[in-house]
Amino acid sequence: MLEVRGLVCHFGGVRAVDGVDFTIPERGVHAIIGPNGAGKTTLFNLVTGVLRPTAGEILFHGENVAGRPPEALARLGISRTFQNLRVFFNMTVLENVLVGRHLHLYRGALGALFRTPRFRRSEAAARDFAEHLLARVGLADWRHRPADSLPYGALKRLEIARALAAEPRLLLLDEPAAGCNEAETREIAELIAAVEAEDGVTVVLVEHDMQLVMNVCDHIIVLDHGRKLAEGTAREIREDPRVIEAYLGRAAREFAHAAGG
Amino acid sequence: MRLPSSRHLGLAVLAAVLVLLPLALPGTYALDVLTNVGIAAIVCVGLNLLIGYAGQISLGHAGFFGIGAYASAILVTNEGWPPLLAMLAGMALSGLLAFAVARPILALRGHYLAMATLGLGIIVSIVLSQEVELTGGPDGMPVDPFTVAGLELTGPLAWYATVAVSLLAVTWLSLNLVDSPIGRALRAVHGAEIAARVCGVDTTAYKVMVFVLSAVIASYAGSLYAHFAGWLTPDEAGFLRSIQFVTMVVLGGMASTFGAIVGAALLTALPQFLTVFHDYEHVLLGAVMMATMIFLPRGLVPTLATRCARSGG
Ligand SMILES: Nc1ncnc2c1ncn2[C@@H]1O[C@H](COP(=O)(O)OP(=O)(O)OP(=O)(O)O)[C@@H](O)[C@H]1O
Ligand SMILES: [Mg+2]
Repeated sequence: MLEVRGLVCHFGGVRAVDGVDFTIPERGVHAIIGPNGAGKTTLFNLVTGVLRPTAGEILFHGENVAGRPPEALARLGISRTFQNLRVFFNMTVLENVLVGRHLHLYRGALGALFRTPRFRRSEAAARDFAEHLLARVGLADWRHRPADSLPYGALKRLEIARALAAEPRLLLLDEPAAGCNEAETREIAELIAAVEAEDGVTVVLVEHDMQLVMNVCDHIIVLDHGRKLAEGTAREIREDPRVIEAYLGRAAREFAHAAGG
Repeated sequence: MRLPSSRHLGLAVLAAVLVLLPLALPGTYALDVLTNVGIAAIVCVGLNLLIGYAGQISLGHAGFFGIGAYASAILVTNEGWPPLLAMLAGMALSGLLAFAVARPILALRGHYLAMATLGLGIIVSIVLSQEVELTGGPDGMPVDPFTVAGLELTGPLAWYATVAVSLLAVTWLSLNLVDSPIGRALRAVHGAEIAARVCGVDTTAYKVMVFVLSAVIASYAGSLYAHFAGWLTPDEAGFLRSIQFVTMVVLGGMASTFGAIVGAALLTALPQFLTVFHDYEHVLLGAVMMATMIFLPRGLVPTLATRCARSGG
């Protein structure tokens, strides 16, 4: 479904993504892991058109989509959440999800100005759909609240509901469980599994919570310094010495450095 | 204005105020002032969609007001067209011109629209002053009365009623647009532009659409004004008039439809009653704009609404 070939993204001298190749087959829950600064978020930004690659190809269903703007990729069925929340804080919870539903709505200006029956049917259906999604992520009671009144964990789930409202074919989740407690993390794991199994969405997630990754992902890609370090099943990755070195080795060195300084 | 009920409530309050005002302020002079308030308010409700929701500034909206006014004046008085048809012609011309200007400019980021509309407004007012044959030049030209199917619109009360109904209709349309995928998309761009685009929102297209709509509304108000005043000068299309419209929207409150109406009312009515205001209009407009930016950056109505909501509970 998604194939990345020789993908490069440089910021001046920083090689955030430095020649990455991988393939994400249709269906399944996939993970991209790696230490801080490995280039995971940059990779998501490239795949969703937020950033243009310096070089390389991004094939979606065989078509090279590298460099297209986000709205064009959204129309192809790519949706995402953000590591640093990008919620519409000037709107209500329900309205946030309705913006996620944008591409499925009747959007004619005359229909909106004069509230034609067709327009009202489209809006009513969208509201039902959005309320159903909010119930699914556990935010039903908050739907008429301004988004800026929600706690952090709820905003993370609001972003997931907004992304799901587009009925994407490919869903990218950037650290969906960051800042969540154990119970919330479990709920998010269940939600991700259900989105894959029931809705048939292909999910790719970036996550530092290894337990979540090992529990829900069938396929893991490890990035380090903008390059692919390893790829395989949860068990293969857990036992891969290069991965252990990248995580533990660095932590050990930093610890030694801090202790020495 | 999020829930449908609050939209209807706002409209009902506006309707009640529009009915009660002429009873509270009787007399021809007061009615004429109120009619002028209504005409400015129509322009501001449209302009607020552009400034408050699309986040763009037009420094030339009096140009569209002038195009509507002179389309009515020239086509009706000189060419004998039916006034309604002339009004529609003015609206179509304004809309086309707005589209031609906005399409290439809004694709760029930043405040280029302000520059382009500034230029457009200046060109329109120069053309109106120079084409003496057609427009009477700086001295102005007379405008025939507004007639539909042989009926003539005369008298201050009939004019007031026409403008009041128009204002209600434009307010209704504006509130409808704000509470639609288009209005939500524009508000989402303010909240988090990247996220809006990832949701599939084509921001440029909506900005163009709102600009065209606001130009058409200004043109409509200009046509009404021409027939109501009966005499038209290029000042109505001038830079000062454009600045007045922007100041009204900023004072009343950006992204607040009712704020735009309040701003239009204050800045139209005050100069009529306070002659000081009339003599130093340039200075005072600038002062009002600066004071609003410094002390009430969100504008009158949103600030007061928040205060009332807080003290109410
Ligand atoms: N817009 C940018 N401009 C300049 N440098 C950037 C930009 N975005 C990311 N970087 C740099 O690129 C590198 C990769 O960043 P990225 O955010 O992709 O890492 P990440 O793997 O998501 O890390 P984390 O786990 O901390 O979220 C970092 O060194 C970062 O400082
Ligand atoms: Mg990141």
